[in-house]
Amino acid sequence: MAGGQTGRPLTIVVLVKQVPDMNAVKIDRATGKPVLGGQSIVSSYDAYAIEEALRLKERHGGEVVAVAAGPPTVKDALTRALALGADRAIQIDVPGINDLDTLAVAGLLADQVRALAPDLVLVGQTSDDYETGQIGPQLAELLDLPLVSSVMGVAVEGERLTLRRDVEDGQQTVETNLPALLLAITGLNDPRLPSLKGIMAAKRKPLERVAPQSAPAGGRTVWGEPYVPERGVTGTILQDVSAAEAAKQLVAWLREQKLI
Amino acid sequence: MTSCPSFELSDEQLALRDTIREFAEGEIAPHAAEWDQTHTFPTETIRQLGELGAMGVGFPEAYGGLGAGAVAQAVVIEELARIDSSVAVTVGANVSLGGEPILLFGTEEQKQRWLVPLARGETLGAFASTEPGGGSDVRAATTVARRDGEDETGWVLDGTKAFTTNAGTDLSAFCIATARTGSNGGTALSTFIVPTGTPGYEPQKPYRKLGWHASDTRELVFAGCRVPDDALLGPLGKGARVFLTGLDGGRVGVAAMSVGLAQGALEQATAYAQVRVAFGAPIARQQAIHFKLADLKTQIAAARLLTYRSAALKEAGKPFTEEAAAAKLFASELAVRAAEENLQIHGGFGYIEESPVPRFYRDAKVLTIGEGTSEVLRYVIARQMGLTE
Repeated sequence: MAGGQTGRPLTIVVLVKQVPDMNAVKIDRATGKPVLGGQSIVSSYDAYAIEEALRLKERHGGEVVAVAAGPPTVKDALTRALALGADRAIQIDVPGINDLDTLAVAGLLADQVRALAPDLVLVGQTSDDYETGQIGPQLAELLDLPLVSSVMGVAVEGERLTLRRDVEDGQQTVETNLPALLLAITGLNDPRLPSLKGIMAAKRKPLERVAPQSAPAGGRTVWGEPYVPERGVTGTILQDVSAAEAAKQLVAWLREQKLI
Repeated sequence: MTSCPSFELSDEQLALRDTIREFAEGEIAPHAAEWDQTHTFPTETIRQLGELGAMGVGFPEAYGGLGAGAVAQAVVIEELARIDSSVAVTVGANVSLGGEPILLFGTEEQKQRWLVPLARGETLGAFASTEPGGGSDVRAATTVARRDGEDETGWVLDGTKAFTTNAGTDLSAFCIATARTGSNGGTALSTFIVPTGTPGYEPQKPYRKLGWHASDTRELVFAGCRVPDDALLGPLGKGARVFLTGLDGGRVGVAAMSVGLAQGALEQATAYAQVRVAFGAPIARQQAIHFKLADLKTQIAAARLLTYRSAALKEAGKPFTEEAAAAKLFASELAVRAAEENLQIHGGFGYIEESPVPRFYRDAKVLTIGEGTSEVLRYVIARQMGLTE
């Protein structure tokens, strides 16, 4: 949906969540608990959100502000966003973020995002680690912004926003007005690599570290013991019959179930 | 600097490494076999690496670079060699042989004209010193530069250079050439920046090499090749210094290529040993195999430290001749061993050109030759020890 667009420069806020590299997670055989090895990375859906923010800025001008909440290490995720091309970043210090529930986190983020008065807020639809998918909708509600999920394409014309959505049996085009909050999914774009120049430039861009504006409502998440869900498989195995007989029985069963 | 450094890369150096690794695995690895088999110089990929900033990592920002230093530059070359040595040498030679001499010895005008586009990744540079009759024995050069015409301005170069990297690609902009400038058969050497396309600048057909098939290596003939006075690089008669100073940096680059190739070979061997089953178990369980892998792991770690240290000394502006020679000597001989062990562990499949294994084996050998043979490097180190003239 690129090209031929007009309009004013946009202030775009993109939320960045730092997650463990899921490819590097190992399970401790003795305790059954996950061991988070390897690097922390930017959650994959957030990478699409960052890329779309940068493309919109390239088309319309304006500013991209990356915002993240969490322990000091989230600086790395924000630095990645800056290396990719975000103009500045805000790091909200929340050391025990995993003890908060999503609404508490969304509240802390909302305080910061509101102060930026953005035209667009881009958020990954869900995160690679806990996959609640709740932060985006909660934030939209707290900021009183229209929410569009499963976004596959974004076009801005003046104050008008045209969005292509992925829906179960195809795609849907919806329209709304700026400002809005969009949830990015796979297929929205193909995220770029940071250039080496971008990496070097990142350290000179402003990265503001702030305390939460209000005390988060904490202690609402309680962690249980991890377990591997039991898989109950029910089924009939056709054995000790000839292939022809097995095929006949299978077809009869499929007919019975009205599957063919 | 702390008195006992941790020898770990900085966050910034790690981020540069990760980006190059992602590029190498995504954009180079899928094509490396084809480029190797068809002897194709990957112009578009080299251009993309330039856009990414790979050619300017170590050069100052004032000259189109990133100012990230020599260690970061070594890390970039290492990552490329882990996947494709031809690409690594194209970058390494461009940086250390094309760009570095101009940074060190060029006038401001020469830096703006030649170094800036090179560091930005728009053009490639070459350095031609070795001749069919001599390499490290630079004073044996027979290429001559004579004063030309009645007004005695400009120089005319005549001679033949061997094994020149990056002199004949679509991106090549210039070649620095050493030539004798002493009058009446004197032996003084000088270096000149010769723009490609100058009449008499004649790159020959690419060599058919044992390895490095996707890099551009040619004989380069200067046939009455006339350049103006401002083509002289560095002081007249001091060309040997330009050449030898550039070599030290070049050796850090070859050491980095060697570490990268050895690392790639170790990863291939390790992966294969874990899936190849013989006598009921993966061969990695056999001591005969996993001792090989453990030795390589250890030696690669040592080679990497030598390489980064020589780069760090260069970055700090300290002498690094001995360290660069030691790093290149140790790392290149290790690379040859690693490539061989990789092939040995792969057995018969390692001898078939359907995996990167033979390519790594063929690409490794030149590392103990280019930028000073292992023999010359031992001599350099012995001389630094005061054992010989």
